[in-house]
Amino acid sequence: MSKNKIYPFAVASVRSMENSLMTKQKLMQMADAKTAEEALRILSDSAYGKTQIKGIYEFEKMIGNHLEETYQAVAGLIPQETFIDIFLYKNDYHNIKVLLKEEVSKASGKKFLIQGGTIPIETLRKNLRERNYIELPNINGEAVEEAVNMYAKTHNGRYIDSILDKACFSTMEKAAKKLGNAYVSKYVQMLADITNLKTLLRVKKMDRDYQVLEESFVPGGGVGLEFFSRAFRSDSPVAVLKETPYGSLCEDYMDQGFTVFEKACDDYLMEYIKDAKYKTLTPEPVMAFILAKETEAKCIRIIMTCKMHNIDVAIIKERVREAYV
Amino acid sequence: MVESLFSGEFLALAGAAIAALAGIGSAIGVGVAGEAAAGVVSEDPNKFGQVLLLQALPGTQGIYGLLIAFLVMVKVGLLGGDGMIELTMIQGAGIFAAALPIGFVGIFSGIAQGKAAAAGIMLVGKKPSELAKGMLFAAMVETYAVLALLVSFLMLNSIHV
Repeated sequence: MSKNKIYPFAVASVRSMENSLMTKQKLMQMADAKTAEEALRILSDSAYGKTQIKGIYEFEKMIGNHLEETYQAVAGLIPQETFIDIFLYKNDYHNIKVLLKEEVSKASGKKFLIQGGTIPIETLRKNLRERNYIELPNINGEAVEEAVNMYAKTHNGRYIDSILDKACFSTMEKAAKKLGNAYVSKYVQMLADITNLKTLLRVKKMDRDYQVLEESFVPGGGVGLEFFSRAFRSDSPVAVLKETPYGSLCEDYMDQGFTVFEKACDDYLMEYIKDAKYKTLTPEPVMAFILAKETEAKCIRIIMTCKMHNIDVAIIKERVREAYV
Repeated sequence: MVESLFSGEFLALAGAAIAALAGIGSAIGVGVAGEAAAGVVSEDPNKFGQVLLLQALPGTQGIYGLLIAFLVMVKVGLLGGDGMIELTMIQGAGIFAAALPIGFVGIFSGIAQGKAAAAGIMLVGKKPSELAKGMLFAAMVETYAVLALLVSFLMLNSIHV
């Protein structure tokens, strides 16, 4: 994609589609609902309502269908470009994880598979079973092999996750580099950094060894591993991380528990994504729309799951992420 | 051959041609705005009328260029049927210079207006009630095309042939 290429059609379509996004108020309304059924009714009035479902336990189907529709609609806007793929690799890698675990555990992981990757699930399943990576471009075959071997040696499912997460981020990083769009590159970098920050916090909380952090460290971020190792060994990780671009994020939220920090991370990324609101012809808004939809889906999942377990409204509201619109 | 290229008559004709080049700006501008308009209509066909208005805005530069080109041709007698009148080098160069403002300003303002119109179309796509504001933003660019038209027109009028 050349630097000055403009996409008026795609951006204008996306701007119109943005009307179908749920605002923060609407999400809060869902959180305020008395029962899960009522929350579902509010959801059905939105763009998600296209899928008819039987009861609250099927709400995931609604989200899945809508996300898939969104991916397809957006991909159709700019068929000659593949930059949307960068945001879909994570779905591919998620499916690979599920399929590999299905293979080793012999249990069915059907309900964990998600649509919307760059490769259809059936193709993925068939070629993964035959270990035929030629048919799976963009998938790091070596990483898949490594994950399988590591599992055979350790019988620990964690390695499948961490090895494939690394592969996913390096695939995203490579694709972003190839694309040469500063907005996407920065996003991928921030996503990697924030994933690492969350890992650090989690490992610290669980009192695990540094080795676990190193194994789960994803590439592609702007903050190197040595920074994280220093933060890990220090008594106050926040003091070390203050020097990174994420200083204020860590200072304000890192000590407040994992749920709060995770929400703060999502809001931090959303703040960056929102930059695209002021772009008119370049492809940023198209990518921002996908990310906005994914965040929205996450919020709905949080709200519906909390509602189904009768969690207090105030707690749900604390967890609702910032919306794009 | 070379001498005839640098005659007054040739320079006057080259001026008319340059004025007409303002159409390049309009073509690009209307094109960009048209793509955006199609994007909005693909989501909501009811907005066709509104976005069409905005798409047409960058088209004026081409018309201004055509106007000046016509005036030049009338001035040198090309449209009268009696053949082209004879022009001195100075007269020809004057007509050439008079055509430059609308030619160049037309190209660049047309492109700029196209982008502003595309943004306005996206505004309508998101908030249909804001059509007037979107039009106003795009129409601001028009000012400079009109100014260039005025300069070209006044210059052309003051050249005696």
